[in-house]
Amino acid sequence: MHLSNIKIINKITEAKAAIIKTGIFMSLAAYWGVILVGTFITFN
Amino acid sequence: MDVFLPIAQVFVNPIEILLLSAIVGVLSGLFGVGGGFLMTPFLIFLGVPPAYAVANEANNILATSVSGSTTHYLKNTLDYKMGFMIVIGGTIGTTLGIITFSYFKDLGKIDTVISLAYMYILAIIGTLMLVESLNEIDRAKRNLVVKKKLHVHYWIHGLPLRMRFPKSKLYESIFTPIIIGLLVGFIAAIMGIGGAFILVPAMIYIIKMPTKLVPGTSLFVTIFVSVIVTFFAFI
Repeated sequence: MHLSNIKIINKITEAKAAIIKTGIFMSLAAYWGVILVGTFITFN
Repeated sequence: MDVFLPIAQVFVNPIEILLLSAIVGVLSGLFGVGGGFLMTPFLIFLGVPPAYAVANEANNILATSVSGSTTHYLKNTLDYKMGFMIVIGGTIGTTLGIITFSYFKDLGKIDTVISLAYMYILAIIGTLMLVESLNEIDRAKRNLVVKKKLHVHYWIHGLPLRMRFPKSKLYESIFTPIIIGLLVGFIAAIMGIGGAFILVPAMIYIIKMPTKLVPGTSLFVTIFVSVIVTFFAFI
């Protein structure tokens, strides 16, 4: 297999991992956002 | 077949409660926790007001802790000295927690505070576990071997008044277990738990106790914490 093909496959794998990590981070941020907004609304 | 609870002013199905407490009891013995962090939310979901769920669960945890501690005592997997140090902090923390509980109860906000406390504590623990497991998956995929030092010292390990704990083979400051006991006692009084689900990881990762002694010692500490919470709930 050509070195360039291996590099492309690695880049695709890294891009997939980056998308998944971003997705998880956004979900956590949304989750905590709901909790904090809910707390704020409860105490107002 | 629902039964009316006159103090909590709710109808509950006794079979549901028996089944839930059986499951929680099994988990309690397995992991060395009192089961309060499972049972109190279950009681709240069943319609019991949070303030009553907290007080009643402390009572239940006392029973499971005595039973679990006795088993560990017979198996000689209990460090009494470390346990008593944590109990000292736990007593102070529980008292402060009960004062806080009473303050919010007088304000009429206790149900909200308990619900929020559960939400935040479980959310924080869930987030930390998610981050830790994602990092572990990442390291495994990259075949990274992290060379860990045999002993990692934080600021807490530099505190004064060191004491030997022969059973755990430790020589550390008494402030470490006392501070941990204080935090656990405070949270336990507010949330109606034994505190063991916080205490067990703290004992393993901060105090560095041998894992085999942790469940028994945490159940031993939970006895005293739940006695204090139950006592103050009655008066």
